[in-house]
Amino acid sequence: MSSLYLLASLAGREIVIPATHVESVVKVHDIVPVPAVSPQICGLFALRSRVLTLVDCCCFVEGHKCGYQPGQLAIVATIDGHHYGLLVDAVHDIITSEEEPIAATGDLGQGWSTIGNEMVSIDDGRLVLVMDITNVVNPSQPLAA
Amino acid sequence: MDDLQQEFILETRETLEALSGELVIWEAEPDHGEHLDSIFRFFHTVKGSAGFLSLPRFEKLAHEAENALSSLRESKLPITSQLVSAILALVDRISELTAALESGTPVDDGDDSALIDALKAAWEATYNAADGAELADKENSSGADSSDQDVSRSTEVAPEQKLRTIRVPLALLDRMMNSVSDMVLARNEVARKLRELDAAGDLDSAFERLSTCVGDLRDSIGRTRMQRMEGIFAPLPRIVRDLASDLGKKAEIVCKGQDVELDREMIEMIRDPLVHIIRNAIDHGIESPEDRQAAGKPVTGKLEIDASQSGNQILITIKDDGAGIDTTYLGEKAVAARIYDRSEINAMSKTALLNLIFAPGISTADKVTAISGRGVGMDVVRANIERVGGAIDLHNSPGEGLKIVIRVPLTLTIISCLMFQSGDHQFALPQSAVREITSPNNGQVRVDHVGGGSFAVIRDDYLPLVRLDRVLDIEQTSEQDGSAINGPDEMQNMVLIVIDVHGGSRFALAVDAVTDHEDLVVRPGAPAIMTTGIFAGTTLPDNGRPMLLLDPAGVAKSAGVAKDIKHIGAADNIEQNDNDQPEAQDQPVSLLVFHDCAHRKRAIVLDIIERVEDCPSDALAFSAGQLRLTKGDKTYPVFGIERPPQSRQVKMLQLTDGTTTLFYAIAGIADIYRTTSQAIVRGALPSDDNSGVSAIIVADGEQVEMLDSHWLFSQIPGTAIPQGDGRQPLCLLADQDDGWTRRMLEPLITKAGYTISYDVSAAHKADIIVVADDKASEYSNGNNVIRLRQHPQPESGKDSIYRYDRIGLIGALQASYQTRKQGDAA
Repeated sequence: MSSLYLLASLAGREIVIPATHVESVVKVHDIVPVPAVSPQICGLFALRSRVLTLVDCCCFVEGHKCGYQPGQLAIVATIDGHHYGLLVDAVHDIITSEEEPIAATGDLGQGWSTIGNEMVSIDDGRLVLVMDITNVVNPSQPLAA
Repeated sequence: MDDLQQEFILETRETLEALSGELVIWEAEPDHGEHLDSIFRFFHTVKGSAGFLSLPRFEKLAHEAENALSSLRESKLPITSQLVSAILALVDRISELTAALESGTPVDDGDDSALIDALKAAWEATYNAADGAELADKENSSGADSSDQDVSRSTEVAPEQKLRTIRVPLALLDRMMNSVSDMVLARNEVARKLRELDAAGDLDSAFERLSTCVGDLRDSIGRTRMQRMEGIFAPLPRIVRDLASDLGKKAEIVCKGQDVELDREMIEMIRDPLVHIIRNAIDHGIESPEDRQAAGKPVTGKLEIDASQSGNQILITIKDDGAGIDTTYLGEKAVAARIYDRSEINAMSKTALLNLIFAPGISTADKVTAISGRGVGMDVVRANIERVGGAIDLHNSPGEGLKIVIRVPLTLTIISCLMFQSGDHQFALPQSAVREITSPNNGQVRVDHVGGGSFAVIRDDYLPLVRLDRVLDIEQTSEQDGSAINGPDEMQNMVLIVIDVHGGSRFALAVDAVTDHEDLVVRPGAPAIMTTGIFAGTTLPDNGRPMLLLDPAGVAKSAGVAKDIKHIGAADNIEQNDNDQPEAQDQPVSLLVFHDCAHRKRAIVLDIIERVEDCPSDALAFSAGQLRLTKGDKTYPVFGIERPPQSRQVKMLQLTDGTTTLFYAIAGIADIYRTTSQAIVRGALPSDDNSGVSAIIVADGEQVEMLDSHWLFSQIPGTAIPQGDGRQPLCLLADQDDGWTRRMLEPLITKAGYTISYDVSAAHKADIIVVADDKASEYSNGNNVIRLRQHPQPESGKDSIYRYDRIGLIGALQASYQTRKQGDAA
């Protein structure tokens, strides 16, 4: 069974996001920072009349705030009725994979295991991490503020 | 086919909700054919649709219920609660099946025959219970009855004039709402661009029209989100019935205000708290039938729930006629649960004790039941209500019941907010929490640094000072983040917002600037943001930049102001005791110094001033010997000026002693002067006792006349006669048929502070009896009887008062009352 994925890159690695979760990809220009909140929350930004929470995905990997560059791309997703923008380095393509995702059993490194714990083979058979958006926005292992 | 099934599910679910109330009423009033008919119709419809959609289980259940009901209708047998329960069980099963059908989950292939057997057994029992003779009686009359029924049914079939409606999926409504919000933002942007352009007039007016249309559209879309309270109320009778019968109690519920509309999301938010309160009322409030009988109450407990709209709030009142809350017992519980110690409980007021039911971990139930008594509940109820910007109040009458009033805003989403700046950040606060906005450099406010903390001293209040930038760890903009941390000038440019946290504690929040005031659409933030506990939600103001709404209680908690829940209700005292009071015995007094209309410098105690306002001069008029101010449909006496002034407006102090309100005209406010009660007592006394001045004090080297507020209030008729013991004496007017007594005498005596009674049979209860001279013979010559005569000249040998001798009459009333009181005491 084939599934659609969005191929993006985060902290220098390729990742895929199941296309069913992706509403759109937008450029973020102006954010309102949120004080006193976990470091992965970059701030709030407006997309038309909606307020989106911008998540600094890189923060999980690097262990510290990476911040954002004006015009950086964010993947828009809605989880439990809340709207989020997930900051990524770049968005490359929409791809199809015929394979089912498989569990990434090896050690991914502390930060990466928050981003996802499944991988899927794409194109030429190379394996990439599948982002688990729900866990990214509500991490089971929260970062210390 | 799928569409049909969907339709069937929706229709069945809706009818089920409406029906559960119907069933309970039917049980209470089994003779009411209408309820039976609608229940019958429900089963009939389900049976028909289920047959068509080939849903055999539905069909079978509905068929059996329909059979039972129809034979019930024919036989006219009395309905037993066993039968109602059996039918309710069928209704429940149908509802379970509907839910299963909707979610597509398979239902256990359980046999419905147990339920059907139960129904049959109930039916048998009902049938057998009916006395043979009675049965024959019923059968004899059944011919006539059924024809009646036919008539009533045929009238019902006549098409009702109903609002035409269509079903719209919620998702579509939400999408419309979002589009409209987008449109409003786009409009605002165009408006900004137009202003920059300085566009020509006709473009402006065209845009104005478009703008109005967008506004209207937003309003009507907003209305589509409203739902009637009916949705919440409909299942309540069923809940009450089931719970009461589980507990062996009898209770009924009366719902009013089903038509009141509320935001759909708000309805969802208050549904659970409401059900919880109802459950509590039945479990703890309503007594057992035996206890109720012993207390002389009707055996069936009564719950009343009433929804009404008042301004932009919805009031929901839940009243029961149960035992009320035993505050002493509640206090004992709090001690037992080690939440408070005994001395704290003893020091608490009745209200504070009552509010203990909102404290976590306290329950009035002696044993834990399935329904309540775990001590989690009312605190959650209150938290839920407050989260949507509402409030909950208790009115307790021990032995007679409890009234709970819930107030919630009309919509969940729109909150009136104050917007302000701290560092580079913009925040909003709900306006309802803001008590006052002030600044440290206005002379009335001082900031004291005590140890590592700060206190704002505003007039006489010591308030913990919370710097928002510190709480949120915001970097200050360069010039303010100087070297002088905690320096004396550091706070000078800040604005203090005095915030009331619900439950009593108050603090001053220091921010950089207050920027605006706007009605904002507030949405809950993402979980990661809400878990900080500091924010109440996010919002998008008209400028299109997201903004965070602060939660006042969260800020207080995070700053350590409301560290201790025990301070609730006694916060003011504790704050004061924590600080050194310079003169403990000598009370500090704040005076408002002003120029009166004759340009004399005078002062008045600040506490009795309710507010200062500019009133239009044409609202002032001289009537009935007194200058009065018209406000709304009331008039208030005005002092300080003799006649309406020439100017268009006049500045007034609104004074109140708690019950009476009067106005005092002034030329302008000079200052607020802080002194002590001793200083006022030591002040020089005026030479004229009736001048309205109580003392002359020296404030900042100047003579100031202290306005005698007691004298002012004593000038108002009606408050001039003090009755002493606080109770209004009862005065019996014995000539109840006499027009003069009712029209002339009653108002006079009422104004003098007496309660009027015309109940001659209860003459012994009256403190004083007033009667016309020619009828006085009916009353003994007790010293509490006052006789009125028609003519000014006294008749010899009779002790009476001329009926227009006001002073004599009032004097006699007081004298009689005093004598009677002394007689009682002796």
